Amino acid sequence: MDESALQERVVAAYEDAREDVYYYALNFGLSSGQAQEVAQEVFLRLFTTLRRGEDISNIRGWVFRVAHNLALKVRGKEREVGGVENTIEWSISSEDSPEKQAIDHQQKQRIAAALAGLSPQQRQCLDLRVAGLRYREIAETLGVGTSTVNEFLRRAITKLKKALDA
Amino acid sequence: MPELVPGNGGGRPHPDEARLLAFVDAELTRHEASEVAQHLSDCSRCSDTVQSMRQIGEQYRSARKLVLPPPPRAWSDLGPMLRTKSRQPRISRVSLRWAAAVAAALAIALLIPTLSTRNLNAAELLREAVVAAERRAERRAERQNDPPRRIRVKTTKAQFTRLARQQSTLAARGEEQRIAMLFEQARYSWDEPLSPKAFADWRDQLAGKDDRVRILNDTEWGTGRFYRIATTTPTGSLAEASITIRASDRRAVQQTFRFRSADEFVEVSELPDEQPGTTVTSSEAGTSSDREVTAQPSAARSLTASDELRVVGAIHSIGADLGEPVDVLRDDSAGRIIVTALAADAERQAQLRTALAGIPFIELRFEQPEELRRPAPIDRAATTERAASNESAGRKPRASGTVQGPTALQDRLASTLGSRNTADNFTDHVLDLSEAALARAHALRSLARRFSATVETQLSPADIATLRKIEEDHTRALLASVREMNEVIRPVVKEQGTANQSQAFNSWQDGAVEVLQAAREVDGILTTALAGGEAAVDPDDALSSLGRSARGLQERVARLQTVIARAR
Repeated sequence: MDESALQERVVAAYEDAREDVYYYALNFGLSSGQAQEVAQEVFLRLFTTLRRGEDISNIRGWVFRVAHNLALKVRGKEREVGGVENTIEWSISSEDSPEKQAIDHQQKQRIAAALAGLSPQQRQCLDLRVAGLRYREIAETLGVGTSTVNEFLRRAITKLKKALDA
Repeated sequence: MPELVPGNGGGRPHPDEARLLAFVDAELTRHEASEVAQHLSDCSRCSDTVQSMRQIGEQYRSARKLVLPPPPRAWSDLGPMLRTKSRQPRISRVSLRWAAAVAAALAIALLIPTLSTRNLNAAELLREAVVAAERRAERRAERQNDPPRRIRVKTTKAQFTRLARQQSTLAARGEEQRIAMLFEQARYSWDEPLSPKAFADWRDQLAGKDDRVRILNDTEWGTGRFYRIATTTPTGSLAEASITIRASDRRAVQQTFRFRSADEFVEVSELPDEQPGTTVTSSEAGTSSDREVTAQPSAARSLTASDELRVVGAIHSIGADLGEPVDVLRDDSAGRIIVTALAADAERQAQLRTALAGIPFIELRFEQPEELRRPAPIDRAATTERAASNESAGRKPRASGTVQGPTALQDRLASTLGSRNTADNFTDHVLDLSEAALARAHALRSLARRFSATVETQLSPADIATLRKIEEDHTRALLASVREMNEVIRPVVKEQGTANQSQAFNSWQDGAVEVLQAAREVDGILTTALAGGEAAVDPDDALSSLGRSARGLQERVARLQTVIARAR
């Protein structure tokens, strides 16, 4: 594949998946800035790897596996004693009226609680699933079996449904 | 879609939720999927479940976006970045020792080169070595009055010498015969055991094989870079064979053979009188080397140690004698000094050209090794190529998903220094200092090799002064690194015991060898204790060894400095 076609291919993958990679990286306790840098770096590496002539049959799987390892490294460097925090911040739009803000805030709190109720691994599974990965790919990225992936997803979805439909 | 008849699935058992989810995600086999589909066609309860499962994906996405922080900056435009990357050379820099250092480089400046272990292609190297050997043989045949070359053979039981090339039928008795038979059994030619061709032939006919290429610097066969190809095979009586090839002229200097059944290890090497520079081929050996000749090479001018010093001095002045050493090889037969730089970027190439511009008898070569198709190892235990105890090699990437926990030493450091973060900074700092020290120690030992006491007698007083200046530069920097290292580790290494004893040096050359040994020792302790993985190290042992070795290193360097000053 010539260089410009390769560039286009990588840019297309980047625009398609960067947000999914970003949200996936957030699972590792990284700051939003770090998660974004990981997301951008993954695609640079995709380009250099393809350019070296390596054949990647499954781009999506590769992207998330590399993102996983990169996020771990960044987290490893900044690890705090006591483990990774599981915080969820939220942003409230300041343009809306106070009433709307109040309603939004309540709803967001409910949703935030719903996500907080998931374990990081369940969130990781969800992020990978909505990114379009198959169970086999999710399994390889996380280092578990496919039936485990199925089970994580099942529990995550059950919890989510309960919280969101309440 | 068939009309849903409210029912209970016709009395058949409902698939559990996990299976329904797998159905929604299209992860069932065709058979399983059709069973579920059939059930769904007359079960409203399960159909509702499936319906809500289909929606949860989008619901999750919205929830996530609403509640998690958005990316703080606008997404960079990747196109221009990739186009810039396309203009850069494909060769990436040598990987740093610790994966933590890679994470630190994940800065805003995203145009960082990909870090990967450099790998050289075994087949290519062998081809080049074979060609070089053939050229050399032709040249030797032309000259006709050269004495026949000899090689040394070392086994577990004995050692002997023999002609480099002889017909097997003339094999001697005793030990040599025993070895000859081993080779015959292994279908490896005993006619010329030190020969890239024989190695390549053997390797080619293997059914299964595993190659490993390592880069070695400063071996017992001289200064400069060497490549060692080690090939293992699961079947046959020869389990593993290796060949060590000098980079600059692709000459095979040593081979080893490990025989499976006989539990025998044989090493074959050039005899010392085969010095570099006596029978050097002229160059077309390297397919990927780019050569520049700055003067008429045919003017077979006699080279002197003073000439070598001039070249070494020029390379030292641009700092190219550290880290990525540039090879300097004297080719007396052609009256040239061959300077080879491996994987030099454009800036370094320009610097070298400028630095060497005034010197007429130089041949400057830039070589770019090809990379094997292996993914970049994201591996905390990756090592640099310089330390003899950890030579650069191709590493398999770790299985994804496994996270390496802290070693006992890292835990100890974290509790002594207050936090994991401080401990990591400490580790990085000490490793950097050790690496810097090792680079300087290597540079000094290279000098000691090249300018032995005998060679020094050929130098004029002015040359000696130049040489001392280079030695002093390195020693000063080395001492600074080691002093700082001892300062940094003081809070952690409590024991103020005696340093490792050392004796007086007879000469700065001896001192350089001892200093390198001591620097390697320190580096080795650090690497083993902090690398993690299989080897569990007792923190107390590690820290007290480190303390003793680091203090011992400092003493030796200080002593070397004195010896150099006195030798002026």
